[in-house]
Amino acid sequence: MFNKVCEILANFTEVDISEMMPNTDLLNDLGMNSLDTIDAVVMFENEFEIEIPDRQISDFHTIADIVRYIEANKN
Amino acid sequence: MMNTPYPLYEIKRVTNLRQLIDYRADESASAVAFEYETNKGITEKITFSELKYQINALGTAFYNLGLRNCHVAILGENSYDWLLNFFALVCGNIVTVPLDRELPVQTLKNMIKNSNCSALIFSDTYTDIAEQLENELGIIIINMRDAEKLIKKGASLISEGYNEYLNHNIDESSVVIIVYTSGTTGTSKGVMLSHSNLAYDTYSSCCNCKIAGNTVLLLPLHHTFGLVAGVFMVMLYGYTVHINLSLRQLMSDLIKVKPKILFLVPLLAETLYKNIWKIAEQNGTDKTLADMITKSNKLLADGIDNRKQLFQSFISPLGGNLDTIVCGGAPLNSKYIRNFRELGINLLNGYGITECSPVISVNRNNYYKDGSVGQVINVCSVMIDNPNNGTGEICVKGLNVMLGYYHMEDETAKVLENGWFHTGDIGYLDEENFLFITGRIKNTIILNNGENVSPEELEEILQDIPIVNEVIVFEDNGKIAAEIFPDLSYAEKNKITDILAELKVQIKHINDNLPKFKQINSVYLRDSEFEKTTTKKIKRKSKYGNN
Repeated sequence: MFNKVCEILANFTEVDISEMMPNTDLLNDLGMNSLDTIDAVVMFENEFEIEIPDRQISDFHTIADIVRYIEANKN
Repeated sequence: MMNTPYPLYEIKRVTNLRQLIDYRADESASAVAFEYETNKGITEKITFSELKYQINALGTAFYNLGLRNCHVAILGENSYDWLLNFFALVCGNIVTVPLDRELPVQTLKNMIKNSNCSALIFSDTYTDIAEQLENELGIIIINMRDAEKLIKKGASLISEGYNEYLNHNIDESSVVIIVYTSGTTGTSKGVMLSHSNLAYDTYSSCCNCKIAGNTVLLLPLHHTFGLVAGVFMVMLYGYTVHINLSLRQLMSDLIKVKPKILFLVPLLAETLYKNIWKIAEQNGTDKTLADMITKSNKLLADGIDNRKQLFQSFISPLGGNLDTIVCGGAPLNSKYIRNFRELGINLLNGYGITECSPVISVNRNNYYKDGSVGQVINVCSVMIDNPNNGTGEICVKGLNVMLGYYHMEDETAKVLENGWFHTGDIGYLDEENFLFITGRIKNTIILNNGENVSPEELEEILQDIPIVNEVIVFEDNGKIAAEIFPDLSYAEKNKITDILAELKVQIKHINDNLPKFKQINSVYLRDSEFEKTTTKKIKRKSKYGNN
């Protein structure tokens, strides 16, 4: 799960996957802006077949936040 | 493509928001005011006459519930229900407090308490927060979705002769909305604006800036820029506002709606521009696009304008009809103005601040200057306070200036002097009344020789270096320094391995044209983006220097 999330995030950052850690910050470490995050969320939804409400997006600060949410909400 | 002075556009002068609704319902009853796509993929359309009917019925139901002469907060994502509830409140002189839904619950709670709200209108998404606030603050909570039932109730009351809502007089000069500033300049303050503030700012902005077609609303409604420019201005011109319900539908909404005009913050404008190139790259047409821009620019220099035909297919991801973007809310790198213009899209940069309802100036459709935030709108005057070579603090006086900060008399007195609102921004007016912003007072660097340097002015220049992605300028031991987050993909494409050396060469060229005290003495590289505020502004904090 973690690796797949990182693969998707790699589309939005110059940071190499090998440098991504659970506590990597989307804004400060990966340089993603709010619109990048929305695009990434659409890809998570398709990949993991879940729905992520817009309200949830602002709570995603680190990679671990995303992984935790997907794990908790995936059937 | 003329770029010369011309008379202001003529448009109906409205002095309050109810007049705006009534005027449009009378003049273009069957025209669509708002539309949005439901979760079943159906497009709902609301005409101006239906809008007026629903506002009156909902407002009547609010009065009947005892909501009058009180303060009501509103919390939710952009939606028609949000706007309908907002209009029903303000047209009944109920003081409305639009809340930023991304704020933590504790902050929302403080705002509701501080603004003395007795009720909260919320969308389904925020039911948990609304219920928590109901328990903790003892306020009334109303789900926006209940508007349908309340409209039926209100309509029935009206038919029974209950007409207090319909007959009450709009108090144009008293507070009707309290908008909390984002707090980048310290504690959040509740800006009090009246019907007159909002209506005159709308009217006057319309005199400067013509709207010639429909729009897609992308700005959040709890900001005055979203409300006044993205909604009221479009309504006054009688066009349709398509409400984008989520930014994840941004591109699909643009293709479906084919907007003629968009109101954007710089981040969105930059993203749309980058998307044009991204799609061209995916289609393998990016080189063609670059060649066509070069050729089109040469033709333009000879007075031949073929941009509409040349770039039609490239701008089709934005709908294909877009010819105007009005940008505000944060500083815009003027290279995007040139970039969009090359494609035939006129990007009009403007300037505003919540305390001025918010628009102060905007470039005109056919009279503009790159690097400027446009001509001052005629509802207000701008004075440059304490000028040094013409540059000083921008002060504003006029019908768009706020009544004050709610319950913060001392804070109000600090910024309002003899009717002049001190914006805290530094700039100058040129001989044609175009306003230029050069920085923020609080960011000004005062060197030990007494010279004042605006970091934003230097950052704007540095941003034009292609390898610079983001930059902040700051004081470093009495001298000027820049911290730069480079554009790594540009470096890779152009095979630049020593980025620092490349930057130093470019900065030397820049320094050659700057007075000695403004020259950039040291450069620091960083390997990640700068931290941003919730409104996507860079937090001006370098790990180097004394900032």
